[in-house]
Amino acid sequence: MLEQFSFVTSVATVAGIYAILAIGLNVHWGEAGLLNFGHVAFFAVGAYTSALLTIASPSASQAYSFGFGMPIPVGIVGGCIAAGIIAFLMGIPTLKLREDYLAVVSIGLAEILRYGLMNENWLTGGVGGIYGIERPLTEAIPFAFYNLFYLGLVLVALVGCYLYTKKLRRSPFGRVLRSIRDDEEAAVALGKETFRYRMQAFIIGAVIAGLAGSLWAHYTTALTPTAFATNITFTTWVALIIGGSGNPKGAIAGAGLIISFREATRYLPDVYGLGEIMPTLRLIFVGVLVIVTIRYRPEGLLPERNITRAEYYNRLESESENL
Amino acid sequence: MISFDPQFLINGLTTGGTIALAAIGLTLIFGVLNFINFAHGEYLTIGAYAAFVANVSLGLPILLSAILAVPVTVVFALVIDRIVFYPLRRQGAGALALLITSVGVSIVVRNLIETIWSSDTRRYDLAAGEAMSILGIRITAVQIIILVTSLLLMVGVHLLLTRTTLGVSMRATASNQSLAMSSGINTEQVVRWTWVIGAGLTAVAGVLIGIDTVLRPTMGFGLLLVMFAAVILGGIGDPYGAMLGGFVIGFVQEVSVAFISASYKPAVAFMIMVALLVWKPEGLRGGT
Repeated sequence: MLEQFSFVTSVATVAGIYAILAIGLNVHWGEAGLLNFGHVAFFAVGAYTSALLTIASPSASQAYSFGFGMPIPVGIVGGCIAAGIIAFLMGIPTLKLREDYLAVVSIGLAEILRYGLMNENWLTGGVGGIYGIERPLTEAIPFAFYNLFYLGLVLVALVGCYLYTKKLRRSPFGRVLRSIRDDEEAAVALGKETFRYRMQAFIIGAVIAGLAGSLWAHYTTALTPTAFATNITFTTWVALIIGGSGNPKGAIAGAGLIISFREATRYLPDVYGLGEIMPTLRLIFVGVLVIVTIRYRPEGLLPERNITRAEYYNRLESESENL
Repeated sequence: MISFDPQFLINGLTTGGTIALAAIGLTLIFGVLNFINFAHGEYLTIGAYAAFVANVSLGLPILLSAILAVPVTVVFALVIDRIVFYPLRRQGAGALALLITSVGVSIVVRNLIETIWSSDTRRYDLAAGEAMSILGIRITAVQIIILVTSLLLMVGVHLLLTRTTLGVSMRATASNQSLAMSSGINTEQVVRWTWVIGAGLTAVAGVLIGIDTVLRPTMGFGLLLVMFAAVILGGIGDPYGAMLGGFVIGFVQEVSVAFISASYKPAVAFMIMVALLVWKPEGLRGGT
């Protein structure tokens, strides 16, 4: 019983972190129409920054040479800021481009960053990564309840991001973003500086992803570059597409579904003897789900309010007309 | 002081040749269907594995295997188009719906290949070729084959685009779809032929890369970014630009080893692309 409970706790924690990632991506794609395929970069920058700010100074045997031993909240804030700065730098060359160019460039920049994580041993520990990242309040919380406590922490962050982006959506800023998304020329005609709005949305989404990264670092306590491959970006996209983009609820629902599915099927192979091929079968299913969702329910499970399927297609149309 | 090593030239040309072949396919499909196909790398992998089945499982000679890989990949691409992309086109879905769908296709196909052949690396059954020396440059028989094949196919593409009705229709559809339709071009037929040519060239690129290195289920996906770089460098939708872009990328990747760590080799193509996008978004050859 206790075992099942701790399994559910850990799945919920991972799902919560992915939900935060998906909320960040929803600000990019759902609100601002930015086709960001390099989301993992912000996740990684948040995680590594928070880790480096909080771990103790490394000993001579360790590959990396920094470690500032600062309190964990400083690390988390630092992770968010660093992700925002990276977004700013990535945004300068990319946010003036066509949407589909942005997809290609962002996936490439995320890959370059991953090569950096693998090769810059002095900073990131290279392929060996960084170990022994501290968890918050380990002394104060009894060990038996610790994972539950961390889940609570993740949920608080998730609710915070949800409320913030919901407010953002209803603000004048959010309305301008959606107007740019749906008809950029009209927004320009109204005198809106679309680049600036896009940049702000890009940074906000990245900061949220950086928060997810920091929470991830202090949850797993170890970081290696292999954990930051493109499949994180794709998983987040799948969550957003299936859950429904344009509203943070869809992002949360999608992340919950995808992660529970991924984790729940992890123990199936023992039962049906599918051991070796199970991981790939699972991904095939996820891919089919994306294709089917776009074809039959492009608005996702929880659609953006006041938008019909025809309008959604219109939106995709109007975006592709700009190509 | 780094002196110019002609060896880079030959390595760059062979790498560039394969990238260029695959990039022509990607850019033609973009031109005619107007979406970036994220599953394009998987067509390359399918081509390579189709030849693997013919060559290793059935014991056929590599040349015959390579020739067989082309129709297999083409049929595969046409089937995918019919059951996945065509219904979306008919629904009137935009480029972004097609793009996201192609990401789904890429995930499905890549993992299907891994389910069948596992993630182990595979090799064709080939006699080990010896390197020969021409004017002090070491060149292997495989490199000569790659160069000759890719150059011949590029000439073929050029003749097709300029001397045949199909090629002219393709270029017309790429530059203005509705105008092409109103002048009586059957665009769905042009779309099908674009898949045939694009997938066919990409399959050959896959086999050539397999001959030069090894096969693995992620080989095409790993090259996708490099192909994107070549396509964008040449100006998206422009087949001649893709050829030029492929060679530039291949060449710069090889030369970069002299300046920065070889572990960044795959990132170099991309840095060039980003730099170019900032400086000249319409591609090296200018607006079309």
